Amino acid sequence: MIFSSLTFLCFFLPVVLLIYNFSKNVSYKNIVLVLASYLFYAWGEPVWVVLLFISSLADYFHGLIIERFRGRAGAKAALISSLVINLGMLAVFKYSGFIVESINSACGLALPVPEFSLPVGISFYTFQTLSYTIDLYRGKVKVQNSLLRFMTYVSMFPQLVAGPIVRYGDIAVELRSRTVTAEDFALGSRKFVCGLCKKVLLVNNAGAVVEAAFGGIHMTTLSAWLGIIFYTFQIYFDFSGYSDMAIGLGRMLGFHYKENFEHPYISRSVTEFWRRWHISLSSFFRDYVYIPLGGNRKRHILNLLIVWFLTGLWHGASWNFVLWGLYYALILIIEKKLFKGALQKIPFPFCHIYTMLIVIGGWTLFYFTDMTEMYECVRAMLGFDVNLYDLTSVSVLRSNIWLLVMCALAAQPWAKMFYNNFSKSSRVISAVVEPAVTAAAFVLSLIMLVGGTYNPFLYFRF
Amino acid sequence: MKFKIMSIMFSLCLICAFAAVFVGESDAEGENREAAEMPAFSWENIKSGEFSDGFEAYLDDKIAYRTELIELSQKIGEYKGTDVPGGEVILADVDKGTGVKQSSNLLLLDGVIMEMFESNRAAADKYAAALNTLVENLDKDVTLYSMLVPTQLEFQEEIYSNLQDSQREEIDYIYSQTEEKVTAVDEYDTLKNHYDEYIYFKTDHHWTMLGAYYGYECFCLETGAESIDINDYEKQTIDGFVGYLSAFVGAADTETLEWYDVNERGNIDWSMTAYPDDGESYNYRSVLYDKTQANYDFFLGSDHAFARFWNSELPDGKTIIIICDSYANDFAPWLMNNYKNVILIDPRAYKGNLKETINEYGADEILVLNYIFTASFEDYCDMFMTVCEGAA
Repeated sequence: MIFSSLTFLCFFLPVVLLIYNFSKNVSYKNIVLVLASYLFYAWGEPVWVVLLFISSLADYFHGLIIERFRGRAGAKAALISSLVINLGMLAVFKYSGFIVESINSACGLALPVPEFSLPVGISFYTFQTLSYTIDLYRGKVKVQNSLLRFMTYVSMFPQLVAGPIVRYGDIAVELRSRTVTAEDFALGSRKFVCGLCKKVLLVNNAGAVVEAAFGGIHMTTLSAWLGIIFYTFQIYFDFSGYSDMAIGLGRMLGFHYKENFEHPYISRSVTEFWRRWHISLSSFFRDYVYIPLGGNRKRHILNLLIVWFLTGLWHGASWNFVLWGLYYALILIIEKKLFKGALQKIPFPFCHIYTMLIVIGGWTLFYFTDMTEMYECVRAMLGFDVNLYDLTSVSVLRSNIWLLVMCALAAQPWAKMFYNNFSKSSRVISAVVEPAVTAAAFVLSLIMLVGGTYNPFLYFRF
Repeated sequence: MKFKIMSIMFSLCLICAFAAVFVGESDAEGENREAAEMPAFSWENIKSGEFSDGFEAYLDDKIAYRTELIELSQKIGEYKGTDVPGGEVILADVDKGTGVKQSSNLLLLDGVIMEMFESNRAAADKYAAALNTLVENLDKDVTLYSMLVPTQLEFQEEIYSNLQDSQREEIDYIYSQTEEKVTAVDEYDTLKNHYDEYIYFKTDHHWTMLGAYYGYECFCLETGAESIDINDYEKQTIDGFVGYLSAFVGAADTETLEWYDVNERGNIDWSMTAYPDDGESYNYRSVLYDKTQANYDFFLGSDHAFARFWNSELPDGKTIIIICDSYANDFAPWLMNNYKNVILIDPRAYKGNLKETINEYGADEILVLNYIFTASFEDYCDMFMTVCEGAA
C-alpha cells in the first residue's frame, strides 16, 4: 500500500487511527500497529510478509542470545550470525541476479540467473534490524525481551517500506511507553500533509515531465536538461515527501523520528549535500561501516571508496548505481583532500552552482540504467550533435514553467520559514491559518489523486 | 489551542475522506463506462495483487463527486504552466512508396501536414554508392545529375524543423560520398527563398508544380539550358485537392491544386511501359494531367515503371533519362519543351535494362531525382542500386 492512494487516505488511515486511539494501553497500541503494519505490507505483496516475519524473529532471538552470552564468544557468534542472515537475505533477494549476470558477462558463462521480485522495503528493514543487533552487541541499547515490541519496531508501517532507517535506540523508550498529545497529532498531521503535497502536487507532475522530456522524438539540449532537472526535483520530493509522511505518521502514533532531509539542494558543497540528504542512510554507513573501517584516521581514501561503493550498491543492483556511488566518492575525496574548505570562502552562488551541477550529474548516472542512453543524454546536455530545442521540449518547458518555479521554491527553506513566521504572527492567525492550510492542502491532494494513475514512490525499488 | 484545532480539523478531513468513498455513487453510467466492481476476495487475487489494484479502482470509482473532482483536478493542473506553441506531433504508419509502411512522425501545423525526416546513414551510404556505380557505368558523353529535394518542414522555424534530423546535413553528407563526376544540383536554397510561396502541398508530401518549376530552373542553371518562363503558361486550378497525408489527421482541409499546361500546343506525346510480375511487359498510354483526380495522381495519372514523353517540335533535341520517385511527376512536364525525349524510370517497378534504354534512345543526360526521404529507405536504395548496375 502506498500513502498517496485513496485506499490509504480514505480507508486505512482513518480506521487505523480510530482503532489505535481506542485505548491508551501501549501493548494494545503495539498489537494494533503490528496488525495494521502487516496488512499494510501484505496489501501489495502478501508473500513477502513471511520474510518480514522471519527477519523479525531472527533478530529478536539473536538479540536474546547476544544478551545471554554478553562478553563471551557466543555473543560475537550471534552477531555474526545476524549479519550473515540479514546481509544474506539482501544478497539473495536483491543482488543474486545482478551478481550472476555480472559473472556471466565477465567470464563468458551462461549460469542461470535467479529471478526474485524484490521484496519491498527489504533494504530498509534489514538495516533497521542490523542496527539493533550491532548496537546491542556494542552495549549501546538494551535488549528487547518483548517479541511484540520488537515486531512493532521492525514492522511499523510508517517507515517500513521506504525509510527513514529508524535506529532501535531512537524509539526504544517509545516502544514501551508513549502518549499521543494534541501537539504530536497536530504536528504529525501537518508533516504528513506536507509530504503528501510534495508527492501528489510536485512529484507526480515532475515525473510526467521527465517522461515527456526523455520520451520526445529527438533528444535536444533543452529536453535533456529539462528531463534531468525535473528528475532532480522528482527524486528529492519523492523521497523527502515519503520521509515527511513517515515522520508525520510516526508522530501521530506517538513516535519521534529524526529528520531525514534538511533542504539538501541549498548546499554549498557536495560534502554538505550528503549531510543533508537521506541522513538516516548516511549516518548508518558512517556509524556501521566507515568508522569501524578506521574513518579518516587510517586508509581514509579506501574507506571512502568502500562506503560509497556500498552506498551505490544499496540503491540498486545495477552498475550505474555503483558508478553513481564511486562518482560521489571521487568528488568527496577531491573536496576533502584538494579543496579543504576552500568552498566555504567562495561566494555562495558559485559554490551552490558547483554543487548542483555535481548533484545533477549524479542524478544522470542514477536515472539511466542503460549506459548508452546515459551517454546520449550527457552528449545532449553538452550540446553535441543535437539541436538546442524543438517543439516538444519548448512545449514541455512552457506547459510546466510554474511547476518548475514551485519545485525550486519548495526546495528552499525560506518558503517554509516565511510560512512559519506568518502563522506565528498572531494567535488568531496561528489558530486559524495553520489548521486551515493543513486541511486545505489535504483536500487538494485528495482531489488531485481522484482519477489519477498509480504512482509508486521511486525509493520503493531500493 | 492551535494544536487542538488542527487535530480536530485533520480528523474531520479523514472522516470526510472515509465517508466520501462510502456514501458516494459511481458516475460510470453518466460517463458511458462500466463501473469498477469490488474485486473478489480470493487468495489468487490477493497474491497476484489484483485485489489491491481492484480495490483502489473501486474506491476511486465510488468516491463522491468523482466527475466534478476530476474536472477540478484538471483545471488545477492547467496552472502548471503557460500556453504552448502551436503544432501537434502525430504518429502514423506512412507508406514509403516501396510497398512497405513504416511508423513515422508527422507535424500538423496550421492545417499543414509535414513528414519528419529521420536520418539513416546506412541507407544514405547505399544511395551514394548507387550514384557512384551509375556514373562509373556511363559513357563519357553522358552527364549524370543528381537532385535530392528537401521537404517543407526543413524550411519551417527552428522550433519545428528541429523536430527532425537536418535534411541539409543529409544531402551534404550524401554528396560528400559521391564522386566528382556526379553533378549535384543545388535547389535547396532556391526552395528556401521561395518558401513563402505555394511550393509544397499542405496535405501531401510532394512539392507543387510551382515548387517543381523552381527545381527545374536550378537544373537548367546547372546544365546551361535556357529554362522556359512559367509566365508563358496560364495558371489553372482544381479545387478539393486532398493529399496522401490528410488521411492521418482526421478531417483535414482540402486545398487548391495549381497547374500549368505545358502541352497547350499538343506537341507532346507519350507512352508508358508496365512490367507485371507474372507476364510480359506491355505498353500503354496514361495521361499527362488527369483532371478527374483531385490528388497528386493528377500528374501523369500515377507513378509508372517506365514513361517516355517526346516532343514533336524538337526532332534534333537532346534526350534525358530521369531515375526518380514520384517527385518527378510534376517536375518532368517542365522539361518536355527542352528535350526531344524525357524518359522517367521508377526504380521501384522498372525491370528493364538501363544500358539498353540509354543506347536505344541515345541519352545525353541522366538525372537522378528523389526527395530526400528515399535516401533513408534502404529498400528503395537497393532497388535504385539494381537499376544503376544495369547500366554496366
